[in-house]
Amino acid sequence: MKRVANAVLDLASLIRGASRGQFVGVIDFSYQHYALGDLLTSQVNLACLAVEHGCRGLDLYVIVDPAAPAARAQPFITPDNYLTHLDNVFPALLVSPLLRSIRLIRDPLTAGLSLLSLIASRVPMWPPVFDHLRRRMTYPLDHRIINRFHRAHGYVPTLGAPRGYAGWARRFIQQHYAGRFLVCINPRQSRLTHTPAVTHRDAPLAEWYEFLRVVGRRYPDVHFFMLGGFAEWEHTLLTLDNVSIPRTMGLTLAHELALLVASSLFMGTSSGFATMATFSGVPYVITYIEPLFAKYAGVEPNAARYPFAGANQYLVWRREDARLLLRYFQRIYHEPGAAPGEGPSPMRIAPARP
Amino acid sequence: MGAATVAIVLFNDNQERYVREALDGICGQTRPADQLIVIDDGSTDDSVAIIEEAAARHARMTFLRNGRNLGLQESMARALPLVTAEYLVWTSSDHCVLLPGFLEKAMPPLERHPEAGLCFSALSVVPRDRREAVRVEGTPWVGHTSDSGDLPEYMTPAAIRRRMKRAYLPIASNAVVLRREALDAIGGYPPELEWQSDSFVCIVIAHRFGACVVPDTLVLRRVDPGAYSDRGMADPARHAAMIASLLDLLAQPRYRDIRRAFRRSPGNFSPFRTPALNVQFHRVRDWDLFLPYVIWDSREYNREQPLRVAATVAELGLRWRRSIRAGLRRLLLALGRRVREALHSVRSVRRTMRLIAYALVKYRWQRYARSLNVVGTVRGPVTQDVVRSMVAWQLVMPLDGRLDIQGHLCIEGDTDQVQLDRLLSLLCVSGTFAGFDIFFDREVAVRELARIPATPEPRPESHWARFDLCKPHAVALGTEGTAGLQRAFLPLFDGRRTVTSFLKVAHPRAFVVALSLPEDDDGFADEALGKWLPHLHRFRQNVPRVAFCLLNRTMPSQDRDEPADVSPVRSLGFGLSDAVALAQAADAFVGRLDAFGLAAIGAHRPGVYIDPTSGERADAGRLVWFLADPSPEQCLELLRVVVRERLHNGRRSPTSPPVTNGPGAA
Repeated sequence: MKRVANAVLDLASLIRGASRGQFVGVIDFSYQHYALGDLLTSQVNLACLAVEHGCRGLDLYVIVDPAAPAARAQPFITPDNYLTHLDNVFPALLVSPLLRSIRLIRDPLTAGLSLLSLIASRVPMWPPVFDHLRRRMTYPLDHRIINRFHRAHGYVPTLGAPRGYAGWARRFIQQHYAGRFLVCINPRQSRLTHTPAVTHRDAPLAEWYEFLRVVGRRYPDVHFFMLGGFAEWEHTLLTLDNVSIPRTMGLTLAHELALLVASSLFMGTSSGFATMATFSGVPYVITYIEPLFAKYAGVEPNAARYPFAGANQYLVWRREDARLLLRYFQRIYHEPGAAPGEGPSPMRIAPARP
Repeated sequence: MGAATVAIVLFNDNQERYVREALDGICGQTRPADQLIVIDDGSTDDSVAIIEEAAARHARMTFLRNGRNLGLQESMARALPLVTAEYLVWTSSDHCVLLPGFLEKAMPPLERHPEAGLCFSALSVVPRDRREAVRVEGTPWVGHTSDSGDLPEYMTPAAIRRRMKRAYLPIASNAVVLRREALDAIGGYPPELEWQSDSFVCIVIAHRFGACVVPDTLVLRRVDPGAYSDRGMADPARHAAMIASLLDLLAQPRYRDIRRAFRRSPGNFSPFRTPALNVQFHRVRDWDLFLPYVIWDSREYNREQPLRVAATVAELGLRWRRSIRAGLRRLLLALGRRVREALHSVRSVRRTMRLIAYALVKYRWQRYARSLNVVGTVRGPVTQDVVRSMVAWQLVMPLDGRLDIQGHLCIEGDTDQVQLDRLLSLLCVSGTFAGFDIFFDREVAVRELARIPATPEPRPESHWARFDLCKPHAVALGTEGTAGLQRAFLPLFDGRRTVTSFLKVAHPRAFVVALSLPEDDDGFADEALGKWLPHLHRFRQNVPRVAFCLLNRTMPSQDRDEPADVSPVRSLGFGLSDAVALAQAADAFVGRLDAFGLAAIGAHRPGVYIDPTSGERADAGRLVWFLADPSPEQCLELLRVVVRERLHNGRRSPTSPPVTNGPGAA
């Protein structure tokens, strides 16, 4: 009897042992998506909620059940290949300045105990417990929490380079691209990947090539980094001297995100990298945003910028062409404050630029 | 005691049509306000000219103008700091007209009861495009909830609560004089409530400080769909979001008393209309508010439209057959939705039960020797040696397959120096760990590790239980070591497919040699490659069938000539796990005994393994040499032996180890 009582007390103390000062983000891939943009938006949501709850640190619980590793919307992710996808998106979990720990939980039993501990300790978490139990997440992730935070506080938490990569990006740029005006680009090309999806959102590559060539002729100090998976670009880019492709150096998503934060400008189609630019304070031009997304972003279709965006952060709702790209590029390049990439600013929670 | 001071703040947003009337209202008070502030929210019509004209006539008037449309909340935030008076009236040109006696009648009760938080008066409404006002308390169906005729001059908080239980308290936020101190005490207007923030503030102040009542009409409220609040309520999504924000606010500890008041006086939700019910219904934690409100609302609805079943049915049947069909369809759809929701709830309950069951089973496992916690620490840059240590660490862990090994990686010191991508990739391809944690904060790590129960506790001499990944570690490659390597590098189908496709296209019929060279701190091997390239070139001139595949990162090909004798696979889209798969699948290996070297030796690849930490040894039968610090010539000379044995003597390299388990088996 005494043993049973001890065991019960022991279990109770274990379950209620979670720290009250923490804020927990639960990324359960059985219903959430292996998608860069969604994961980054989740990070900003988590940062907003953590700040509002007065929490100083963010603990991420990443739950992957090898038997059912992905949501129904991603049937191409199977028990046999989910580790590749997990490896690819993992750096997106390192971008929050509040991050204190990440737990990768690969068995349902541990996940059950951890979640029960959080619930019993009433630790604030997102998604909320009931939403999590109902496996309910509406995609695309909206900006409701972020806009609300911005209205209340006048800023949104910015994402930084993935933890550990800010210094690397600074060194890398100083070593190889010192004094250059660095522009990260990401013309979406889903049709070139193994799993093409929503290909009507893909960028017109010919227009981008034209834009890159014109900039190469007129602005020799400008250098472009093409971001994205190895499959997502054509070999033509390799022939352009003013374009480098981090993936051809064996670099990963973590390095790409760090370069994006450190660069002078981001230009690209609405995608995961555009989300990183949106929440990192880098000047940007995001093109071909679907009007459907407007209601999720809390803006009117054709809005010039997000409510929390700075003056040099532009949204373009129509399909881009070379002239449009050049016009926006010149507008930002010739701005008095535009400066060569000198490495990322330290990670912080700071007001968005006015 | 002197008379209390009062300020009137008027908000205008493109209300050219009404602003003159509103200005007349605030300027024509029989008891003039001590401070008049007019704020224009970036109007583009002629209202600015009208306000400027008024400001020129009234010296006490301060005119603020937003450069662009900032919204009500931003305008409030801009105007309120300028208010120096003890009492405040916040009104807007689209909604309200203050009658001349407003301040004269509203201020004396407040001066007699300085503890009161606000003073409100009877509500009268001017329908759109009409000039005559209608007193709300005289309106059928709603009058009984808004009648303020029987109220005393000052209602204490307790009296307010009693009254609200019985009927709705008709506080129109634009017809209210607020005590500034009370407003500051509750933290001002909550911006997330948008157009309802002022109403909410009035309710909170009335509940906490009490309120004075003037039973006369002092303010005319205009009903106009162009008004700010009506625009907001006309947008169902925005309206629902605002109600959700209200419920979020009521969930906060600082509004616990107000939540109780809303629960006891559900009529407070009536300005939010039916959508409030919908939002509350979908938030289970707010059902304590939903149930009283649905009862209150049903009662009010019944009072408004008494149910006459037979007559209603007959009338509907005769006149609105189509509507009935549509209604029935809607009803069925709604029922379907509810059933689906119920099923969802059942599933949620099932998941909850499963979660609890899992937790209990896990707890039992932890208690009964199924779980083992091991901690690795990283203090600086993740170099080639640190990545190798990660594999070496796994080799010294017990091979008992019944144990769940939980890895904990503590990043100590300057976390900005630690690039985790390669370690994460290795952890992903590893079958050693059931799960792992990464701690960036030592304090959190210490606390979390202290509360994780695990038996058996590792013995103190088990150096693998606390492993410093930054120190060099010798690798034991006995039978157990090889088994450990196979566990540390699970066969990944993706990597194997990438490698196979690549070799078939790029190097058909070639003898493929995987090459791993020393890397700098950032993981690039360009410097070492520069030294090796001439030797590789000479080697290939003699043995052209050999193809070298470099597994390390190198700089982009645009910046220098493509090395003709080496395929830099990491520049061709190979990730670390793909490169590991190539090390396992190649015909031979030459280079450092790093993670790639360990993967190759685990897959029984012949070749030359450079390992400064252990002694030199050779296994000529398996064509494997371990050397401490050989030159490129020495390595390639031994490789020549491998090639001769495996190729020219007709003995092809052994096949790659069969793929037995998917990574899901981890």
